Amino acid sequence: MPEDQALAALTLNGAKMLGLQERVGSLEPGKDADLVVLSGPPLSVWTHVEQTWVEGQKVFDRSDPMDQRYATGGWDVLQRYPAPAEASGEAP
Amino acid sequence: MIAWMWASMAFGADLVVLADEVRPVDGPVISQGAVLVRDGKIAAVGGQSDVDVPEGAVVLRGAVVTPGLVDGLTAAGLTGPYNQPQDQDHDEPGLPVAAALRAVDAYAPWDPLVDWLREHGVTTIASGPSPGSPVGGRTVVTSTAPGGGVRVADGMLVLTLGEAAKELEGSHSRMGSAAEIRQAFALAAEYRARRALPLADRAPVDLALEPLAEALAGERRVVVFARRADDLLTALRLREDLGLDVVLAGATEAYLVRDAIAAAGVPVLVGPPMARAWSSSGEAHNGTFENAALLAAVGVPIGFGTGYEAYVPKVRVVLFEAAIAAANGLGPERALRAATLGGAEILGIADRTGSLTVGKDADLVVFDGDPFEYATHVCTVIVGGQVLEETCR
Repeated sequence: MPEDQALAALTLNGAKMLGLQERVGSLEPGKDADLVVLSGPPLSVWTHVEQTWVEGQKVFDRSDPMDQRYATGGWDVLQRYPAPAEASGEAP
Repeated sequence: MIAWMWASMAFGADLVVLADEVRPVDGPVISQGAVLVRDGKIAAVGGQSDVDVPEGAVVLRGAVVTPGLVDGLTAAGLTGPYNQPQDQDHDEPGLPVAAALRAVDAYAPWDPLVDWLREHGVTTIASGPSPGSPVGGRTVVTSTAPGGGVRVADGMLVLTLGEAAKELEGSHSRMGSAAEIRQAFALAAEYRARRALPLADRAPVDLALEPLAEALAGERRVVVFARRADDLLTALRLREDLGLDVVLAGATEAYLVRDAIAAAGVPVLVGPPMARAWSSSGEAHNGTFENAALLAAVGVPIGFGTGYEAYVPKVRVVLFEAAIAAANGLGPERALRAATLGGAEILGIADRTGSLTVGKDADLVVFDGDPFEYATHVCTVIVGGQVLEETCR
């Protein structure tokens, strides 16, 4: 499957099946501001979700330690969780 | 004549793998590299201009070639895909001291799940009894070639701490499981002394105590499967008290006690980062994708052990789990090392596999791109010089 088709399957195609294509599924003026900010190519294992926005509200921000732990695990032991610097390894 | 036919079928002509990148793991990445395979062994590794392609050699090409992957603890070959009694041979419920059990006696070397792992680049596995008995049986270390290629018939002794040991064995607390283990080793110490007596006084052979006595004498490595931080600390305490050579496995919360693990110099077979958080009686609740990275950062020797998977797909693929660890702080180089040589070192077979080194078994994986990337495929898998997979998937 080409990458653009895979991305469409993750967004606009699903919206169409739900009859919501007028509101969500693509980045177009007038649609709901449902956005994902990614650190790199959408379908790469090396890419992280940086921010998630739903109807114009930021609901996830990886730079917030609580959000980051919620995404990668360990959110329930936040006080005991090592500092982010300790977990950072070599870049790909 | 028969011997010659067998040899030619097994190994055939020389084989040369040419790749944009050769990642030997025990040395720097080689661009435009080549690996020469002869008689099942790696005969040369280097740049394409340095490795001569012998006449008549089969030439394979790919983007990236790595050593075959090593899964340091799984139940593949013991737990089959059908989830029916006839293909489930991974535990012996009701035996708190099950050290007489040998995985090699149940390992099914043609099991479809072993094929599945091989298709995804896994060439060596340590298969052992599932977590349950506080003192479990022993692992078999084998190649994933159809029909098997046993590398260590009688491997590590498996201990279990935590909910699995409580639930299956009728001891109702962590104190109970630890007491079962301590009692068993106390008996084994006495047994060992009584086995050294003259024949008339000598203790009769006890197949459940024999491997424990070996572990006490430092002759057998012990792998402790435990997920929670408190159980991991109990494992370190048992190691200290009993003088055992311990490896930790599962180790979901190891990152929370990483300094104690590092101080003890104990290696960890990191369990799957993508394990279900709410399975295992909530013991995986604090699992994090960063576990392997945090352990590596304080110098803990790591490999991967995907462990026992009670539900479908019944086994996990070390390549996919290593990729998530790689993308969450471990990085591609250390993740590949943990998935190959790191595991081989923990299993005691680093002299045979785990890196692309001249003289080692020719266990190779050829990818059509970055090994850890979602869209990359495993295209060729070579186990002991035999080309066993030739379809990109």
